[in-house]
Amino acid sequence: MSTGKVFTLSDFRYTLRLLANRPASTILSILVLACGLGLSIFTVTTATTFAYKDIPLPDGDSIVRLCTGESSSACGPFRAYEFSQIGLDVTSLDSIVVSSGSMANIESNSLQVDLITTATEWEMFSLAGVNAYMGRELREYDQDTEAEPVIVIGYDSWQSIFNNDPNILDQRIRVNGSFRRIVGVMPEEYKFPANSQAWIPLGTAKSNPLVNDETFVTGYARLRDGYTRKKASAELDSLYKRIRLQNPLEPEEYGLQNFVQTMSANISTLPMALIGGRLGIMALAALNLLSALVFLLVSINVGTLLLARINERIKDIAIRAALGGSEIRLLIQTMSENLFIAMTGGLLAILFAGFFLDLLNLFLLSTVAEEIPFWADFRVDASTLIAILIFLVLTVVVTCIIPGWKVVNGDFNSILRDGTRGAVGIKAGRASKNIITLAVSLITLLLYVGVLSGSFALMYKSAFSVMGPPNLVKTEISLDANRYTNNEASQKLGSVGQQLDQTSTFGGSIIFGSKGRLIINPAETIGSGVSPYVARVQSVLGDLEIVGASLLEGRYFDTSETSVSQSVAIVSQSLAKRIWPSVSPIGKEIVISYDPTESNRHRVIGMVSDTLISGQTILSPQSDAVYLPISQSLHRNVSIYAKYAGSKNEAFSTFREVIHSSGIQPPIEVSDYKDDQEASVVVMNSGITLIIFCGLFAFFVALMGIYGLSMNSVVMRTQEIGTKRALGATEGRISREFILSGFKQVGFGVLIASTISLPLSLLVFSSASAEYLAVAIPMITGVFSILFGCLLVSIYYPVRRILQQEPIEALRHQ
Amino acid sequence: MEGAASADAKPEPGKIIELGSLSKVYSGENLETHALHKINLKIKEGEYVSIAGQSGCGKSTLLSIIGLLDVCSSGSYYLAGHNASSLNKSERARLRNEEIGFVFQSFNLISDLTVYENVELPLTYRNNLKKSEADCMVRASLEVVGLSNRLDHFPSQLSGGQQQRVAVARAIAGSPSIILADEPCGNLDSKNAESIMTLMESLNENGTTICMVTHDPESAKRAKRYVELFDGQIVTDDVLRDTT
Repeated sequence: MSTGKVFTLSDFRYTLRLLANRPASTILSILVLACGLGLSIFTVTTATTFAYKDIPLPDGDSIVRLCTGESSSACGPFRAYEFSQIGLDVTSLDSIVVSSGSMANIESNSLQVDLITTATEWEMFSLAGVNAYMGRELREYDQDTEAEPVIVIGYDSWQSIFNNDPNILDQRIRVNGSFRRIVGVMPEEYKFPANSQAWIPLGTAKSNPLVNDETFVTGYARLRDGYTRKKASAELDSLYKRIRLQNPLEPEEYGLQNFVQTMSANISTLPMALIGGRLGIMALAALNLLSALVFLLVSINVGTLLLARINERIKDIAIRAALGGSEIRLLIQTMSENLFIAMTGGLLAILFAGFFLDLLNLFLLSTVAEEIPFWADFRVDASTLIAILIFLVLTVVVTCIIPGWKVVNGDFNSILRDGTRGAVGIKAGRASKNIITLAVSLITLLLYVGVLSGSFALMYKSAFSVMGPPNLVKTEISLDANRYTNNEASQKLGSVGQQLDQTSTFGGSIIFGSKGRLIINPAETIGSGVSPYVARVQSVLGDLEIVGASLLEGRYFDTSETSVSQSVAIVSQSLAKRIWPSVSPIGKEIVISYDPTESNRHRVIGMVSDTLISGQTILSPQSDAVYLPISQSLHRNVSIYAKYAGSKNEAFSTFREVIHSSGIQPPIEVSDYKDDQEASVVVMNSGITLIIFCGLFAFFVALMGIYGLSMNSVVMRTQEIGTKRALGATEGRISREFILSGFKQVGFGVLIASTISLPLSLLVFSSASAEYLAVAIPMITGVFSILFGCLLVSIYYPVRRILQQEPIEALRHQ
Repeated sequence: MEGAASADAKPEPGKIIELGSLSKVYSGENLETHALHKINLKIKEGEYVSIAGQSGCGKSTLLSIIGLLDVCSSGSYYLAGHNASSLNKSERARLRNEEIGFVFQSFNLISDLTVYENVELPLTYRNNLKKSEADCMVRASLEVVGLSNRLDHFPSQLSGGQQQRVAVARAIAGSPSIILADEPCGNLDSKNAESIMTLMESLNENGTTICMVTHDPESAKRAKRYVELFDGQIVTDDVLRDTT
């Protein structure tokens, strides 16, 4: 049997008429879809670009970063010596290169700029598979100790610093005070390994280390064919643990085996390595969760709004079926209206998302351009577009074709007989109520998850505003073991500290050398089986007061602490309270599991207040710390801080002069501690702000959906209102009835969602801090107040509009 | 013509409905439609009036105004001694509830409510009615229409005739002064229509005042008084049977 035409011009006109007949509902449906889906595309694209996108290099997906789990970041660096040992035995990786990134001061003519510069092995360029735009890349002979110092610069640097000078090659520029010859310019898009703007050969201390000192490097490689990241990680981890055991930095009697077992090495993609760390993983997880929540919210809202429209047309479809419309034509007619809404909303969503992604790109470029890795270009890609199309088609199928199919192939006669004028059909009416309850339940469930995680975001946002002490100028230096003996290094540091203290610009200085987080045992518990403590251990020289570590008991270090005097330590208040909760720590002895060549038994001479400075992340502010005098525990990689009171520029200039005059090479990068902290969290802060904004927007979309559904359900009951008025119901009575029934519906939905999410809420609240509860409880109260307020408005206003008509108009409502 | 009243007439004792020179004009963007033009009509207690006329003559508009579902553009209207034009919305609602019972062509039952609940609905809008009293009234009115065995059914589970009988039960449940029926048999087959007409007659015989709009001449002539409209004006107002 021929089905005839499946869609005619009159069908199209009818579709447009349906859309135009209820402009508010049509616009609301399109807006909910456009805003919700747009937000979903935005968050998914952001998360994908940050973490999962293939890097834009030849065979980019096989390029990996080698990480240790030693530092607070998930992808910590390796000790250069250990890495060189590992590299010899790895079979799953190819082209392993090491590098070390830092900011370098470039001087060309009168211009001075700081550029992110990567000191790297020459093979990095072949690993990336990119050739120079002009000149050449680094070569093997550039790494020779006696080789001429050279530098390869990035395209952007060539443009901005050297004004596209075509004769740039062979020019000599000062890099950190030493002359280097420019031998190449890399292509515009090349910033490997992340956001590098210049590349210099890696020194032998890092590329070919002879001693296992605290020189750190970052490793990159390509996965060999046939190896997965998981497989390569397992191999790397096993080699790393073996090397650590072969080169013990910790004495065995203090649990070396156990300590090594807590260390790990792994293979990571470049994006994951960059965002890694507890903080990054949490932010990414929050973004992913948000993407999923937003997508679910959109699906529920759009689905229910479209389902409500179809629900209202069930009778219309039944009439058409009764008049003999073919199945396929009826289905196409059924979905034409929603298809139009879905496609228009989808198109607008892509435009919205594209617009806001462009804004995000502009924002990042204008605020943290140097922090942006080269693969972080936020754009809607083809796979996202395909996913959107699939989503829209699925939405139309679920919300139109399935209900339409059921009507056409079911007992449409009963639908025609069902109900009377004055009320929607019983099935349509119940379906409409069930849809609202279902939507409210799902939305509430998502709101719970959103609020619980949103509270964390808000809490962390406030955590980022708590920074360390202000007005601290800072630099990091390294005293090469080949150049300075222990004694010389110690004297050099002492001399720097002394000079800084004697300069009137500064009100004190301190030198920190971080030994990392180490095992601490009170001497009296050694061998008793009591679990050891872990604390960060720092060698210090100078005034702890200036970094906020005020003396609470005992004394600070003084000149009596020498390499031959008794080993002493100062402990932080939090650690002291944990080890000796009821007695004074002064005079107690602790044993630290570090270099066994040094004395590891220390008598506690002081207790200081906890401070956030140095060696910690703001999100993991473990305050447990042990400070050792640098004279007894030399550290060659140190941070120098000096407190200033006047202008920052003057402090910087004086600070540089003092360090330079002490003869420490190479010239150092100077920064303000608080600026550094702020810069380090600006991306995360922006990310959290973005997450909060997206969460609020998702909530707004959810409210729009509930408003639309609720309002629609009232409008569908216009004739019922007319009938009730004809029977003598007053306006107040009708308003109350509708509001009460709406609240019952929403209340039921909220109750279902609350029951389902109860275990999660209890779990979160039982382990939550008072700080979290202080954010979460008002947030939950606020969200539900707004939800019920929105419901009240969505019922009250349409009811009032209908009541403003004469009853006969409501009775005649079609 | 019997029952004609002037625009300034005061309510007369025993008259439930009094329309004086009542007009209704619908104003569109470019068009004014005179639905009713200077209608004068009085209806006494116990009357059974049919209002007939062609489609579009203003029958339903007249019934809507009588039922306080709509307002007139000019003229006067007294319902049970109350001046309709001076009533506010709440007073109009109270009068509709206590003085008027509606029977619509398309039944206008609430599909989510059972038969019992539909009939009970107007009683729930009365302030001083006890639940037990309302229950008696609901059951009694359903008894009258012969549906006391369908209390828990939903409208969709009833035939068209049964649904209209539920609508009649709802109309009489509150013992109103007058029942206004708008084409009560318009959606029914002849057998069900006869059943409803008989029910109407029976109600009238028991003293209920009825005003029924119909386009069916046969139904119209079963009333005791026949009013015919043409182009918004009363052209016939005849007593078919003596009501005394």
